[in-house]
Amino acid sequence: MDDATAETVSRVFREVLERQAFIFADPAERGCLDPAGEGFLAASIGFRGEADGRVTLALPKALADEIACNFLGVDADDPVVAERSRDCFMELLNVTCGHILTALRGDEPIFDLSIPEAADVTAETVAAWADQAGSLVFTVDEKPVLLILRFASDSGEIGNPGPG
Amino acid sequence: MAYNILVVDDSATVRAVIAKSLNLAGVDLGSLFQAANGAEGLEILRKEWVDLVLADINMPVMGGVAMVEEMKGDESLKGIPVIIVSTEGSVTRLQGLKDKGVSAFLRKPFAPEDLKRAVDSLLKGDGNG
Repeated sequence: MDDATAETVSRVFREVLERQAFIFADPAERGCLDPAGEGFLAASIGFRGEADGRVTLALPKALADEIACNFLGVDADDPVVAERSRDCFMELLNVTCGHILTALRGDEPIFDLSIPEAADVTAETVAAWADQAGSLVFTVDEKPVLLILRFASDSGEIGNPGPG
Repeated sequence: MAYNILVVDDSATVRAVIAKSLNLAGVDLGSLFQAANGAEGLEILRKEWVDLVLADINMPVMGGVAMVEEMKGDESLKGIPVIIVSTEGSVTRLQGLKDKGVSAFLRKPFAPEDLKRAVDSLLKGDGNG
């Protein structure tokens, strides 16, 4: 990912997170991803159209719960948080992907997005993903977040890395 | 006047957020119906009185576009306005949807007041629709 693309993707993700979940993210270094840290939730969505590729997002489960609270407008101890946390996270990814594509390619091309898929992953796995091309790291409330944008033309395939 | 609204989205979370946004926006709601895909939506539309449909595009079984096409081919349903609520940002696709009979679009993420503006523009006729 070149610098201009990285800057655009970073801006779009932070804007979507702020508007959808009222949470602020800051760009961070890969070193903030502790391989021995708490478990992560990762989700991936594919896109096809003028360009094919995949966006993957990974963040600690506690942060996914926080995002769900804000998105749903409920308290942290509401049982609906645990029930809907994964769904809220996939919706965040879906919206992020749509806005990234418009920001990078303009509003003329048509892209078809896949249904997002989510999985539990270890912090060690996420730290390894961060070493690959197309990765951007953020911190949200001092918790690390990894976003990966991969175009099929980068790797010859879609879906690597990510749970999808 | 209270309006009956149908929300069609495969995500129960998104349906819940739209329902909450309608309440926060002060939309005068009669009944709020929910469906997980276009086929379920059509089933409700054929049984219940609905004033407005809010629908996603990408859904399993039957998507929002196919549902709108079915509605436009049905004399009893073709007059019901449909707002597409989606992450879609392609003006090419949005124009295509408008040509198929979609009344308005709301891009996610949206604020409750955005939703109210879109609903009012269609049900009260104040706005650009």
